Amino acid sequence: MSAVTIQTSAYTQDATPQADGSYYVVERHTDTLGRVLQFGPYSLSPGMDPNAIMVARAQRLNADFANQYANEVQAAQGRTPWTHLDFRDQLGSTTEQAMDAFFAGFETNSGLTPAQKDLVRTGWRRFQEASFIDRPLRTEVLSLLGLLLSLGLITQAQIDAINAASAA
Amino acid sequence: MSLVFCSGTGSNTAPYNTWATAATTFAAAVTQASSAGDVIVVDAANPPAGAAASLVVTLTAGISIIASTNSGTATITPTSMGGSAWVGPNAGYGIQLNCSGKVYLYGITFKVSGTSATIYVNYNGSGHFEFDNCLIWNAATGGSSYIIFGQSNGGASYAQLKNSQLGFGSASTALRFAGQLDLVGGGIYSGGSIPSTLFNGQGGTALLTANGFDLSGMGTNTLVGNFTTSTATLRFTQCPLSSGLVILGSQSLGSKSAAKVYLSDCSVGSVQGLFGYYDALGSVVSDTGTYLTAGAAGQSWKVTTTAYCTFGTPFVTPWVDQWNSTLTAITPAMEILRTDSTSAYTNQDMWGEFTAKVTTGTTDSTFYSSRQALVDYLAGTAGAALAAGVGTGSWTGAGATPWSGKVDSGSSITPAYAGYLRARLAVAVPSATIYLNPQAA
Repeated sequence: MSAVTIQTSAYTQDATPQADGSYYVVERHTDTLGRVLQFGPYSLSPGMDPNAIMVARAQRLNADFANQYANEVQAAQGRTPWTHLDFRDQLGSTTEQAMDAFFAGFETNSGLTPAQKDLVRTGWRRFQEASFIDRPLRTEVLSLLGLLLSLGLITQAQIDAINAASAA
Repeated sequence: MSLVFCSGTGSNTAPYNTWATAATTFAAAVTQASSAGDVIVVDAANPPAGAAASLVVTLTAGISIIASTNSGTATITPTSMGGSAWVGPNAGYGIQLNCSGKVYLYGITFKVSGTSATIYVNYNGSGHFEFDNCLIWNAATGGSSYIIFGQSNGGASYAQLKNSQLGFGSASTALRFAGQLDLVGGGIYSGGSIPSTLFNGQGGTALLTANGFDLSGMGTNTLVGNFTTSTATLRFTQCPLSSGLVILGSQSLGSKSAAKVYLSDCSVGSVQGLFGYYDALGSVVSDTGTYLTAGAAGQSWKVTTTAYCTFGTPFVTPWVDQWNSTLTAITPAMEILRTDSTSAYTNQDMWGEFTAKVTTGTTDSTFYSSRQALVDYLAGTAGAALAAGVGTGSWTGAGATPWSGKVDSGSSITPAYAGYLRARLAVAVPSATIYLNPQAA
């Protein structure tokens, strides 16, 4: 599997100008899959260079294809991101409930300093805001597991198993 | 109706009913504005502070959010925040606006920034947002830092942006939408970047109308991108365009389940009254260089097909409505011209499609086509050459190797009523160009 790229690019410019002096241009870019990507007809003012516009568009298309390929490679390796529910399934119900209880009450936890509460609050909000959980786990998620470990809500063996599952 | 003041200089004392006691966070003001009719008044010059967290709010249905100068009194003076003040979180965090009903916003600037952040309006769907003189500005520089309207699962969503601006942080960003989005006036914020593709889909079915939305700064980029997960119709009326702007990018679905775009009276510069239609199978643009000399207002419809047309799924132009008062048998036809060859097209390559009311006592119309009979096509029979037209000499800008022809209704029509016949051209030839005089005679 390799990234799709633009193989050939060509444009046609009308021989006859429009009433305002502009010209219609059509670009056709053929990619390595044999697909023809057509852009236009678009109106071009006199003096503008359709070849330069076409070349710039081919570069953008190749950049888009490269991004798409990178995403496909990641998915093909089987590491599609976890949903939040997938992640919770890894914790087990005991740890999951204990974690929820901690985050529900940490603001009034006298054992935490204000600075610690700031870190916990923001870290937990960032985790909740994430649309999905990257695999392998981000440093931030590992820090969350480390917090649960320090609170005695999870064991190192559980963390190791979750890590292994995220990298599988 | 309660006024809820929101300012970076307030004392943050509930119920925030004066400038002095104004809420210092937008979220607190939103929570306080809990009844329909309540008005959140945001200090246009000293907005509420941001925070190191995404701004996710669910607005009470029926409230208004108005940016105002801070007079110190209860008098509200609506004043747009513009680009120098905004409501938004710290860099790297997003904004999500939700409402299950209707909300009106005037003069508010919502802004996110950093490397990656999203502004999402109607994430939970079913809201009706009216933005009036607002600026929605995603200044984040990452390629996925979108401005998004509507739900990805295609749930109910409506937003109107009136005299409002859209701001972007890089060329790689875009506005993605689902549901219905109306733009009246406004344009792209000049203090940001120009997206290489402005509009793209967010899933489901989408409809966008833009009236007087300024696109003249879009450069040689693309107005509507490749819609792969949603079916959309976008209509632009009286919008100034930029030279070299591609209206509809290549649609990889290769079918009309992607996006289609209509342009009405939009152009680069001062030419009035031009028309355009674009879908995955082809496009129609007004052509004032090549046209039937005695035809429709000094222009033709230039039809350009993509590689995706076939006999069964041709590109079809929008309908031409032609007034007819003849109630005896007629065989209406439309003149066409090709400029790349003197060879005639056949009725397998392209044909006319017409509708007319031929039955009294009903408004029902009957469909007519001059396409090659399906049985003949399936048998591999070559198409019949289309009839000759008025002649290449009757066209302006015909070029050196033209062919003049016409497409008709295939069989005679006896209209039952004076009224509009409808006609359109269907083209099955891929990657072809044909000029159509948009009149049925």
